[in-house]
Amino acid sequence: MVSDWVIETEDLAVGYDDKLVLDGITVRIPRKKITCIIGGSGCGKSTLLRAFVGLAEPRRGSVRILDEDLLSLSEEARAELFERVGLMFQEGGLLNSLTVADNLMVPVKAHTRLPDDVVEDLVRLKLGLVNLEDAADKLPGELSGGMKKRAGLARALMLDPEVLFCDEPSAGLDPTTQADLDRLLCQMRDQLGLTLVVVTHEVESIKTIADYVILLEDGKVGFDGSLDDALESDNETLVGFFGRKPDEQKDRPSLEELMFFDGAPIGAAA
Amino acid sequence: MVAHLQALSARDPLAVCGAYRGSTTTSASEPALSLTASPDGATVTLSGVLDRRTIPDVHTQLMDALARRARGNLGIDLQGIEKIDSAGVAMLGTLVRRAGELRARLSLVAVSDAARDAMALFPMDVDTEIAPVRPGLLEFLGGVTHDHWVGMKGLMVLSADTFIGCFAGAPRTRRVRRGATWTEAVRVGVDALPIVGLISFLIGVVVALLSAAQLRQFGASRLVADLISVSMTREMGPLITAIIVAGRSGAAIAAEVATMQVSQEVDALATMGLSPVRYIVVPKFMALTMMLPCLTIMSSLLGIVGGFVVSWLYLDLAAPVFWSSAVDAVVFQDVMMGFGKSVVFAWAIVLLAAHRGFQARGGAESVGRVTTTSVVSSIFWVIVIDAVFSLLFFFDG
Repeated sequence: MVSDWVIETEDLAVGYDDKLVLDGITVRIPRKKITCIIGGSGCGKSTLLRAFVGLAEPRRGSVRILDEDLLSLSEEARAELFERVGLMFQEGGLLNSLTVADNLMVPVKAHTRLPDDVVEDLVRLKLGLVNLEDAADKLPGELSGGMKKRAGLARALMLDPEVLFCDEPSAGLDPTTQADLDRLLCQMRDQLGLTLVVVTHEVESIKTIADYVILLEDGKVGFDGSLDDALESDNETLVGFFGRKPDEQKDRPSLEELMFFDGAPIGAAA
Repeated sequence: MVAHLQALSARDPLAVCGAYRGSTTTSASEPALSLTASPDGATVTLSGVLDRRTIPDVHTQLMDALARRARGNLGIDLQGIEKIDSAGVAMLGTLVRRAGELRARLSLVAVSDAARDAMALFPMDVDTEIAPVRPGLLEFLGGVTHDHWVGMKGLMVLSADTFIGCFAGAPRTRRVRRGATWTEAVRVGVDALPIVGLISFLIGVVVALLSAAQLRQFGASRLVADLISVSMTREMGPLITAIIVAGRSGAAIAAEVATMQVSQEVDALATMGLSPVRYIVVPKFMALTMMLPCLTIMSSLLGIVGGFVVSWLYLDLAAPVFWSSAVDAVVFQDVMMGFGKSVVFAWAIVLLAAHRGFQARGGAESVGRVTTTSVVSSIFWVIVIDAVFSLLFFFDG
């Protein structure tokens, strides 16, 4: 039986060196919906995305993706699983030594035996989807940041994945391209039944595309629920994030207080 | 708090602290800051302008004053501060932190409006917790050993993956990277021919010149041919080639892998179901395993030719005499040893370079760093391996 969840994590903890970036993450990503992962810079959003696809090895906990236990899969089984998963990297993640078209061919050639002429047409089709037909023969170094992202998206879509992870897809794009991209993501969800997991900062984009929102705070889940609930939530970070008037900022001890800390000042005693 | 401060600031600091001494002032045109300490060292008064230009004048004295009050109290009087900038606030933060480390208590005796405003404007998170104690010798050694062991394990895993990758997992990658091994072979082998050839030739010339000058005194000029041919085939050829290739191709491999690592290309490969080791390292590994022995043979030959040129021009040794001595001196085992060594050198160069490359984190700076360490460690290990080979086979030779 196919479960309603594309990804399920249980008490996931991920760290680099001796620092724990994520701690005790238990989330479920629903099928055929767009789930946005939000949070401040450095709170572990991208790390969570990497953990979902096994790029960051967890210290503890489990990850189930498309009904497979990711951590117990052999390398070969993982490679097969990645046929059903697309990942769009923050900077595109394109192979710099290959042209855009060759980059798009990599997953197709690795996983299918499609004849070369069909592959070429498939590449053209996917480039058309992201408005990059003219860039097919360019090297990634010759593209702008936004074009690299779109090329990365096209490559992630080459094998028609069931689930697509996007790491800040619209950051740094102009508003028109951003809106086009959001429309494209929604279309893919509605027409192809694609599940999307999007890490983003763009409030407008979240309001347009998100069905569900997961908020990360200091490596923990601060909020997990539908977009409407998120917009109504009293969670301080969400309130600040969605532009409602933030509550008074939590006071940090001022230098003055620190200097008076621990007992009365000498001057007062004298 | 404010009322408390105001009450304090109304008090004459002299009445609190008694007579002052140890004044530091700068010239009139510069913003001035004076520091005075009470005779018992319990209170320090700062007055004037506390900013980035005046802080260096009083910093050491302030820290010393605080150090003398370790586990005690130090009062700071800021009543006379006319102006304070962010650097001034930062320095007060430094004081608070230092006081924490010294387990001293820092108290603000009085504060001027200017100072209070600045402190309010630049809030600082001062970590007053006592800094962790620096690791002792044993802990330090343990840490270093652990780091080396982790690095060693990584290298062993990479080596195993690479050897396995030479046979397994090929079909998927080959469809994507057709002809990669040959392209790499041209890059690491054919393109290196001129530089390896020239350097080997010149080293042959130098060694022959040096030995000729010595051997000539004993009338043993003919032995130059033996010396050159044995040393080039057995030691110099493989070593020179490996060192040049480590510097040339090893650096290129480390930089390429590191750049791919930091620009998420390695991650992208993994998420497309391709093994990064199979895709990136294996073609280079196979290419260098093929090409380094070939380069070594050529290097040895050209080194001997260099020796011949010297013998011919400088020692007037006839060509047939030189070549017959040279060929007689070299035994099959010497050639095989040079050959075998070069294969091991090739593995060391590629695996160390790739291992370092995968360790790159962050940005361009780390690419440069891992490239440098890669070249240093591959040349080091090439020489160590050469020494081990020489020791193992010396007594057989």
